[in-house]
Formats: sequence, C-alpha cells, structure tokens
Amino acid sequence: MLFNSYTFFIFFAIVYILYLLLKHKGQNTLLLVASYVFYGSWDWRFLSLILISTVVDYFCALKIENAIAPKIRKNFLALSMFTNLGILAIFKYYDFFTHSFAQFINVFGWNPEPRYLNLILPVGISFYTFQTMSYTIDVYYKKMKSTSRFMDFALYVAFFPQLVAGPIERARRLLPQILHPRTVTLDLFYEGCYLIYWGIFLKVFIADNLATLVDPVFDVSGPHNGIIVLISLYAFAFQIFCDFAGYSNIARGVSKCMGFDIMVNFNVPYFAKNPSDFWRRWHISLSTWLRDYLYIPLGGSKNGTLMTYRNLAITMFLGGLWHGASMTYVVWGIYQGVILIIHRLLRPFLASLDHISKYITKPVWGGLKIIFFFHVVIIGWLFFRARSVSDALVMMKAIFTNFKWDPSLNITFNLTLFIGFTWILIVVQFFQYKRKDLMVVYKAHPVVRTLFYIVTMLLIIIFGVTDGSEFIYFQF
Amino acid sequence: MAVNLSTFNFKKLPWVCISALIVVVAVQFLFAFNPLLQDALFTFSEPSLSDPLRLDIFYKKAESSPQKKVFLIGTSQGREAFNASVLTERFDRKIGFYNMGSAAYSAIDFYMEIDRIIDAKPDLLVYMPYIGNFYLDYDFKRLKYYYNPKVLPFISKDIGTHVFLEKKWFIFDAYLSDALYFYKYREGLKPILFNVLDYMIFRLGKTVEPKYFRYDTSRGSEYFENQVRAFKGSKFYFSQYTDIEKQALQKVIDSIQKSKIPFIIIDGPVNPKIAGAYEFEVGTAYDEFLAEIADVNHVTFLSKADMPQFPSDQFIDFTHLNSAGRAKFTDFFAEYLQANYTQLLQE
Repeated sequence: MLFNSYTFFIFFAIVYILYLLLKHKGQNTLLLVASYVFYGSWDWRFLSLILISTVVDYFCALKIENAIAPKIRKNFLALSMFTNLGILAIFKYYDFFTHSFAQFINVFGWNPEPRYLNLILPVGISFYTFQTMSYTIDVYYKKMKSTSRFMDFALYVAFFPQLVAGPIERARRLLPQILHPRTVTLDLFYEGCYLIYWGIFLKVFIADNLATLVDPVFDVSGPHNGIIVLISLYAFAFQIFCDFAGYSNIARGVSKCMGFDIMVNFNVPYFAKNPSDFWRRWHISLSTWLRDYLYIPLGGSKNGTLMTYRNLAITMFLGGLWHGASMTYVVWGIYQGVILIIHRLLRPFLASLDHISKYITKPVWGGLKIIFFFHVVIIGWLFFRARSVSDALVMMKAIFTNFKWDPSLNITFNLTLFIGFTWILIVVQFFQYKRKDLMVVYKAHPVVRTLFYIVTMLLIIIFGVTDGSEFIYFQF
Repeated sequence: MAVNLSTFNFKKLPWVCISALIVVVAVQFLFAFNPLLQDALFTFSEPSLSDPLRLDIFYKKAESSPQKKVFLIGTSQGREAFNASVLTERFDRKIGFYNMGSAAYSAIDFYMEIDRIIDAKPDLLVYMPYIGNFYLDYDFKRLKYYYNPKVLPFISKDIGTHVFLEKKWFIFDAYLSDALYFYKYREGLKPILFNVLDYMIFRLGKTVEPKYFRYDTSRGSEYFENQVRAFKGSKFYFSQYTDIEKQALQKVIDSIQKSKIPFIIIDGPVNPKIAGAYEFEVGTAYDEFLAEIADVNHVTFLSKADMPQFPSDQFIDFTHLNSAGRAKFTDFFAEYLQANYTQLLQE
C-alpha cells in the first residue's frame, strides 16, 4: 500500500474517521491494527519479523532497566542487538557478503560454491530495525525509561506513517506521544494536509517524471554522451530528494493530522555549503542516528584528528551499507566519508577563501559555494544510482571526455523537461532556505498560496504519475 | 491532555484551497467548452496521443454544426486512411466529414459512445473496424476516455464480476476523469503543451496548421521482417474479450438501426506483408465475422475485395496507410459515396 495510491487514501480516510471517534486507548489499538494491516499489505509473512523485534526489544528494555548488575544489563543489550542485526544480516546482507567473500577468495585460486538464501528483502527493514535498536540503547544508557505497555511499544515500532521509509524516530520523541493522549486541532489538521499535498506533489510530479530522464541513461551500458549523463545526474539528484522528502512529508503530514509530531527529515539539503552542512540537512533522522549510536560511541572527535577521521570513515561506510547490500552503496558511503575528511582537513584553507566575498558580495559567494558543493554531492549520486561501480566510472568518464553537443540526442528537450519538472521546487526551496522556514509556502500571503495551489494542482492533474510507482527508499 | 475533536468544529474553511480549486475547475470548464480554446487545442494536438481529446472536440463541433455530416469512426487505421478534407472538397464543402479515427478505439468503446454519436445526428456513419479490436485484450487504461456505466454489466456477464475487482482503479479513474477534463485527456495535453512551448519559443507569429495524420512515409522491408519475427505469429489472437467485442458491435448496430442512421462497415486495408504476423485462422475468423454480422443485420459492408489493391509501399507498417495509400483509399471511398450516397447526402 503506497502513499501515492488510491488504496492508501481510502485506508487512511477510514482509519482517520475511526481515530477521531475513539478515545486514547482505542486510538492506539486502532493505529496498531492499522499499522499491521498497512505493513501486511506488502507481505503478511514479514509481520513476523516486526513482531520478533518488538517482543525481544520490549523484554530486553524491561530487563535492562530492572537489572542492577551491569553484566546482565549488557547481556540483554547484546541480545537485542544480536536479534535486530541478525535479522538484518540474514535478510539484507547474507547473500551480498557471501558473494563478496567468494569473489575475494576466488582471487587466490579457490572456487567455492557458495549457498545463497535468495530471500526477498522485507520492505523498510532497515528503518524499523534502527528505530527499535535506538530504544534499547537509550534505555541501556538511561536516556529514557522503558515502557511496560506492550501494545503501545508495539505501536512505536510499527507506526504506519513512518514504518517503511522513516523518518527513523527515536523512542524518546515518539513513545511519549503514543503513551499520552494527543490533541487534534484544526491548525494541525491543515498543516498535516499541506504536508501531505506537498509530499504528493514532490513524488508524483517531480520524482516520478524525472525518472523518465534518469532510467534510460542509468539502465543501459555505455557509450554515453557526457551532457546527457550530466542532465540525468542532475535529474537523479532531484528525483531521489523529491522521492524521499516526498515520503517523509506525507509521513509527517499523516502523523500531524492525528496529533503526532514526527521529526523533519530534510532541510533544503541542496543548499548545503559543505559535507557537514549537507548531513545536517539530508536524511536527518539517519545521520543523527549514526552520529548518536555509532560515531559518538566510537569516540567521535574526542580522541585526536586521526581517530576522528577513522570514526568518520567507519560511520559513513556503514551508513552507505545501511542503504543496501551493494558495492555502489559502499562506494557512495566511502565517498561521503572521504569528502567529510577532506573538508575537515581543508577547513582553515576554505575559511581563508571567504575574503573573496568582499569582492563579489556575500550572497554571490554563498551561491557559488552551494553550486560547487551540489556538484560534489552529485558525484556521490552517480555511484548511488549506477547499476555497478564500473558503470558509474564509465559514466563519469563520459562527463569528462565526451562532453559534446549532439543534436540527435534531444539534449535541448531533456534539459527543457528537467527545468520544467524542477523549477517549482527550486523556487520553493530558495524561499525555504532564505526564510529558514520549511513551511514558508503554508505561511505565505493568501494570493501567493492560491497561485501555488492552482499551478501545482494543474501540474499534478496533467503531468502527475498516478500509477502508484514505488518510493526509492522502500528497497532500503 | 484530552483528545480534542475540534476537526469537526471548523471555524474557518480553507478558503485559499477552495478558491484555487474553483479556479482549476473553471479553467478546465473553459477549455472543455469554449470553441476558440477547443480550436487551439486541436491545432496543437498530436495524432495518436491526442486522439481521444480530438474525438471529443469533433463531437462538440459536429453537435453544433448545421451542415450534413458524415462520421468516419475507427481506430488509428481509419484516422490514417480517410482524408476528410479531400472528401469535403469532393462534396463541394456541403457535407462535413469528421475523421474520428482514434488509436485503439475498440467495439466496446464504440458501444459506450453510441448514444453520444447518435445524439450528434450524423447523416451517415462509416465504421472501419480493426482486427485488433476483436483479437487483442481490451485495454482498460483507455476506459476513461469513453466510459459509460452500461458497459459494466455487459462485460461482467461474459467474464464475471471479478473483473470489477481486478480493474477497480480503472473504473474509479473513469469516474474521476469525468469530473476533471484535464485529467481525462492528460496524455493528449502533454504533447499540446510541448507544441505550444515550442511555438512560443521558436515559431511565434507563424501560422500553425493542425496535423491530421501521423504517417507519411513507408518503412523498409527489413522492418516488416523484424516485426514478423518479433510477433511470432501472435500479433492478434483469440482473447477473452473477442466475444464481448463482437457482441458490442452487434449492440452498436442495433442502436444505429433503431436511430435509422445509414451505416457502412468498411474493412481496413492491410499490408500484404502482414501474413505471418498472426495465425491464418484469426484472419479468416475476422473476415467471416465481419461478413456475417453485416449480412445478418443488412448493413452495407465493403470488404477488401471491393477495394483497390494497396501494395506494401503504401503503408507505414502493417495496418496504417501512408500519404500515397491515403490518397488512393480516399479516392476510392469518395467515388463509392458519390456513386451510392449522393442523393442521401445532398437531399
């Protein structure tokens, strides 16, 4: 059941009407049942994995909190980690590591015949696994109390708006909202509807239309034309943003309508001026998760420069691997780690360049930095989207060696489509960035809002892709 | 904190959204009914992608025309075969010929639209069926263009009610399309928007002629050989919709005969190289069906045998005539009409 399908809107309308009629306890029960129905609509068998995670983490957290001996606390934390990461390892990574290992020892002349599991990847497994793990870790570090209300905890794990593609909510934020009665106000409802609308627009108008510029280029082997590759790379940068941010907006909007406050997952990331800034704006729920549960426990930046670089590299490598069992994600993660390290190394030099702004004004200098860093980001997207690392290298080579205007390739047409599909996002994001307010359109003058709704409605009606294509991040 | 169901106590309505919605509906209404805007849409439209939209525009033009009119109904095969302007000239511009050939227009679509066609009061109805209408599966994606609820019991009678469950979103889409003009014809509007953009950037001020046909040239023999290989004899086949399509055509004939509108069925010319793209039995069954339905219902039927020969170089592919083929076919048809229908059309 996809957010951009009629089925979901009928499902949500029914759930929402019942939700408004029920009291707190009934609402939570309804949401839990709805969440399981929502997840089960993909494949009911995988509900068992969510239930295992739920039961194990529920009991482990209670035991951790009630135990006095550190060893017992540690053992139950280990049990929780083992279960969650074990499920993830079997369903997501087993075949990848087995294959990689077989290829590695093949180099030494040994030809093993590895056994693959060929399991279907359960939708959203990485999201809910990280979400439940954060709960037991927080209880272990005494950052929050465990809950004895099993049904409410189960709802925290399976809360349908953000179950399959995040944001990865911490128990510290979401669980109290589940445990306590919520207030649904008219303002929240309208805000939620706006977020849902904007999310749908990002997905069905921008992301799904840009796919027509991306897929034909990335899904074939070379030779490639450099200009076409660059246009499709720009298109992919916006496609993945609109796909994922669109989902997050819908998740936040649906939650808001029901009185929940889900965290912001994207904050105009392509207006970042450096890698650290980017990771404060892109997939915030994952980057903060990695920071809090991986980078800082590894030592963060407290143990000297070299250790900081090591920690950054490990964190981003695992961040890349989190996205999927493929070398392309691993390379993407390593690339992100490398640019974070280079940025740290060059920080004094980069700061010294800021005096250029005296000659060309601050906004122009800031704009140049944004444009430059955007291009650094899209090199990473090349590896992220390519079918293989070698494909990515071939495409990158085309950008640098075959950057020729070929009239037979419809370059003008592709560029026109790209601009046509993205201009409205760029305008909205510019104002979101300028005013430091993601709800800038929602709060704009009524005439501006009316125009915004007219234009976006017409674009959705005429160009919206309404066949319910999947969100990219579901595969993670 | 108690649950506050204040959502039910709307103190103020979302006026911004409501006004935007009103504008969006009004704009669509304007485009759907203003003759000038309809002309503009037609001028910039593209044959094939915009066919359902062009068909709708033709109906509206015909409905308001005081002239005698001939509707040329069919698929893209018909669209490419009849040159309506030449036919109009041949009848001294006294009769309006409307080339209503629309890509993949099936007998089920014809059945859904027949009431609208009869209401437009044509003086003669000409139907060029396409073998694919009867020997391919019905494309539910196109249901929204011609949707009429009377088709549901008709389809379910033969295939079963489970078809509603399987195709529920297409049916939902059809209702949604009835409410939103732009949504209904969005596939046809996209090329129009691109053409308008292209005109505004590169050709502003120049006269734009509407395109009536899509194909003018012919393809090399290699194309046909590859196609025959690719289809492996299954370009057309007996489908679960074959009988329903046949029944739909019978119902169409019943309605037309009740309305007393003269009706001609004319078989579409096909490329001689089509042999091998589908099984011989399918072709025979199709020819027999057309002859039989025309005979049983006493409908005028022009078979391939009644027409001149069309060599392969007068086609773009297996079923679509190119400009040379079109000129020949139109000439044949004009002569046929002049010989047999002049009195009726000029009364």
